[in-house]
Amino acid sequence: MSVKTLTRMALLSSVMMVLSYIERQIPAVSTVPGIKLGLANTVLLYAIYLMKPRHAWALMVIKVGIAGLVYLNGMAMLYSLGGGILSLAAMYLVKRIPGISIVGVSVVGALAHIAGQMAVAAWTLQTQALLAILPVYMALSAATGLVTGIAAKYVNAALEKSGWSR
Amino acid sequence: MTGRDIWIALAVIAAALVLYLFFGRTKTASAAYVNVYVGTGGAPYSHVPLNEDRTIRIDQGGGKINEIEIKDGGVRMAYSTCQNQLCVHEGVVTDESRRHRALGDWIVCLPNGVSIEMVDGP
Repeated sequence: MSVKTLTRMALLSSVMMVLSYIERQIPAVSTVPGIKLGLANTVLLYAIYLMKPRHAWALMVIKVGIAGLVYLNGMAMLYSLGGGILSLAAMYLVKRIPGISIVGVSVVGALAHIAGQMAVAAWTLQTQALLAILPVYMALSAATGLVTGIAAKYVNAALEKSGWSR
Repeated sequence: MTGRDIWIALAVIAAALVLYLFFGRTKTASAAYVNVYVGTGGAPYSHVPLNEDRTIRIDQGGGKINEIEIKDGGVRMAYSTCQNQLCVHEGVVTDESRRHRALGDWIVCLPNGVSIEMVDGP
């Protein structure tokens, strides 16, 4: 890994942490458990489109690890990891489909993230009660995915234009 | 944003609607856990799933003893050393009875400071 890549990874990691922190300060979002805007996902979208896959995967693990230690407990960290893995895999898959832009990829990523979290939660807690709230979370993920996707679109465009991404 | 992006978002919302119609109504309030509190405030003394039969004995010393029984998806105060025995007579809280009981999810023994609450999920 070149110094440039290393620096960029470090910077992106800290940006993710800041975004995680900021979205926790939005009362309407932070009071309902499990619901997040997913602002940090804009960074992963950036990595998916403008960096190598291994960098995107590393950023995801760093995000889960540090945000997990700072904001969550062990169990929630496990859910977060499940969501992160499924989300990133789904986003790479959907990105291959022609005609789908970063916004569509973001929506699928948000959906896969909640699905992954729910899957780990349902598995560890051995309960089906989560199925009842899954539809609500799914519909919300479409909305949050659109928001973060559109944000990522403009961020990527601006960063490319500035030459920071080269 | 392309047309396909919009279709993906709409498909997700449609899928959510379908799932809601299937699961949303059937399992809305499945009681899953029982919290037991001793004294005032703070974390539960005990937090156990409703579907595992067990008896929890709480001996606070000074002759204050309560026994909570979880059996067949219901929880009750099986035994208490308190004078009025109201808690014992509050009956069984099940997923069904909690809907029309006066105290809802709760069984409370004020003299001994022991309360039981049924909660959805862990």
